[in-house]
Amino acid sequence: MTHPAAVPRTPAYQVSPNAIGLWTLEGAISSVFLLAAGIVAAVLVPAEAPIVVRVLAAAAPYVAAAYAVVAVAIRPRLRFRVHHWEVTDESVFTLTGWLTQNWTIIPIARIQTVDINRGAMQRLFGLASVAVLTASSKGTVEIVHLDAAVAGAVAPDLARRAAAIRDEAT
Amino acid sequence: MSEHQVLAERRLDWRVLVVHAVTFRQARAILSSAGPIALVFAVQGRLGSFGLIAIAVLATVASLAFSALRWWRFSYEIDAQRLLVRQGLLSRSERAVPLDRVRGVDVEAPALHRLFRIAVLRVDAAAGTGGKDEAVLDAVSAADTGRLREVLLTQRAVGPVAAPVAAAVPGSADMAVAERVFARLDPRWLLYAPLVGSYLAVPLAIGGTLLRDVQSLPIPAGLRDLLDVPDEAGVGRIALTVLAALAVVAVGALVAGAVSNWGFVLAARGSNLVAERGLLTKRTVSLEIDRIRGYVLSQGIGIRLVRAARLTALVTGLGDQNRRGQLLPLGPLHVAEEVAASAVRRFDTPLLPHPAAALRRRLVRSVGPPALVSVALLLLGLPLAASILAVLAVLGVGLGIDRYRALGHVADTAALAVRSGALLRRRVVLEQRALVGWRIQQSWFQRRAGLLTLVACVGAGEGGYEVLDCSTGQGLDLVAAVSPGWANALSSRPQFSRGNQLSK
Repeated sequence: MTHPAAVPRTPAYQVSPNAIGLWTLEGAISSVFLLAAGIVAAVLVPAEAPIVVRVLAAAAPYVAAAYAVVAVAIRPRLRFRVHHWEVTDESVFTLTGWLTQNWTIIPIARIQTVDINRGAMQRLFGLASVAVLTASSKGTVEIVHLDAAVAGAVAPDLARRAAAIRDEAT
Repeated sequence: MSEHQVLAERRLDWRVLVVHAVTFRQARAILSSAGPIALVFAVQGRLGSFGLIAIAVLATVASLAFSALRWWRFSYEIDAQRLLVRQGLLSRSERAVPLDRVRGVDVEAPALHRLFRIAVLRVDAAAGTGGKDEAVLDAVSAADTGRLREVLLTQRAVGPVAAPVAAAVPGSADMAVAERVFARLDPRWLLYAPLVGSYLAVPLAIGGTLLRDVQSLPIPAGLRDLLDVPDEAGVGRIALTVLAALAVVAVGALVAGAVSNWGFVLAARGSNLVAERGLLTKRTVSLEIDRIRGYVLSQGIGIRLVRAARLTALVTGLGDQNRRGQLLPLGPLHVAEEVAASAVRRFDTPLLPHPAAALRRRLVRSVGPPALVSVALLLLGLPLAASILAVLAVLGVGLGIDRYRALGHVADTAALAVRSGALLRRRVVLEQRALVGWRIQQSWFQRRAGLLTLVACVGAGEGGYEVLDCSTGQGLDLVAAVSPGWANALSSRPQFSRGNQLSK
């Protein structure tokens, strides 16, 4: 059998919409630092410096401003659109990435541990991440920025089902 | 039950004291500080020959004393469930290794140990947390190693008198268990050793030597003469240097290979694969057959040219896979394949080639960078450097084609095989049950070319093995063939199961 035009399918669910807020805040924080650095560079560049250095220093605030627009207005929404996840009867399944797409699928029978992680910033937005680990260092899945209540329900459910059908062949 | 009491509390063999005293194993730390002090005294002339002898005697006595202390405070015991090791001079430590966690037992007998008929036992265990753990018994009598290994690996309670203990020098057929030999080293195979990849650095080393040599030549006829036409003595010297360096490297590789691999034998004993090897230090590595999940056939470019290969087993939970998992040191490819087929799994299905787009990508990568740099150099007015890179670009065509021809994969319901690499070609055969997940990567370029890279995640070896640049259809077929059921989600419609409802 062949599927000439087939691609792996996109998992059904997106992360919590609050993730956009968190990513925006993160982008804003890094933008503030970059803008400050750019302005300092433009103001403090000595007049006797070589022309190349002076041009670069003068451009620095504008480059930082452009980064800020991307990091605050564009990137968070783009990230939200490219994070997908799903739990089926038999597997955990994620898709992330924009230019390079990464699908990961793990059978529930081979799950060893399921972790819930809640960072300080995540708590601010009521988010949590679920990390699913197996015997392989490469066979791990992290579902980032789920609604805390969803993570709190998914993780124990996965752990319970994994314990019920665990397969020790690995 | 008392009959499960395999070994009561036991000590290490006392003969190890002699070995350690002779090698100053325990006293090395003290010696390293005592040495400079002695040197200072000696230089100042305050230390006669008597003093030197006194220091030597003291060091030996101290060494022996430390060894004795350690020996006295070290004990081990094995019961039906675990191996228990107690040690420590002041702070005592007690390590329990559950027998069902034991993944392999190595017996190592360095030359001195062999002289005293004792050996070091290394127990490799998968720790409960996923980390690796090891218990070392240095040393037990050679007569005990065979039985200890058997007990540790089979988790069987063997009564102290039940198993007739033969003179179990590692290297002799010591077990009364049925044995099937898969491979024996043919000394002629040692000739492959000089062709191993790491020795490809030799031309560079020779180049460096040559440069120094040329520079150190006398310049009687002026610098220009030397650069244009080296005199005949110079040419002879250069040729001699090259030959000598090659000979030294080749002989060195040969000797190193012989020392570590002499007398290599791979055999199945009971439920284990046992590999023995070594000229001076005898090593015996046991692998539980039930834990073997596949193998890797690897060929560096040098040994591929002479149709040789190396064979390594993929074992779940085994630390230091490359060293301990070795099933055949450098040997002919057909022998390695035969050993893999008989000792692990026969898997001869021809590999499916990858689509032409994969060849394009290999060529772009191997030819593109040198060609671009070459053009840039030409524009900068450096024709010599540009022509060197142009040659590299032409060689890149061959490399790209070779890398493409290496690509291939195939699967049945029980296993899959993957091949890739030109400078280091590897063919990996993995059992389906080893699989703990799939990772699929597709870059923007791959998406346009209808390709993807598939990573089979396994709890053995490197943790993941790549199927590079197969077509999207091939990738999905492979996933469906190897993991029917759970991986259906990749291509089927979404299911609405419990897990999903939770997110509503």
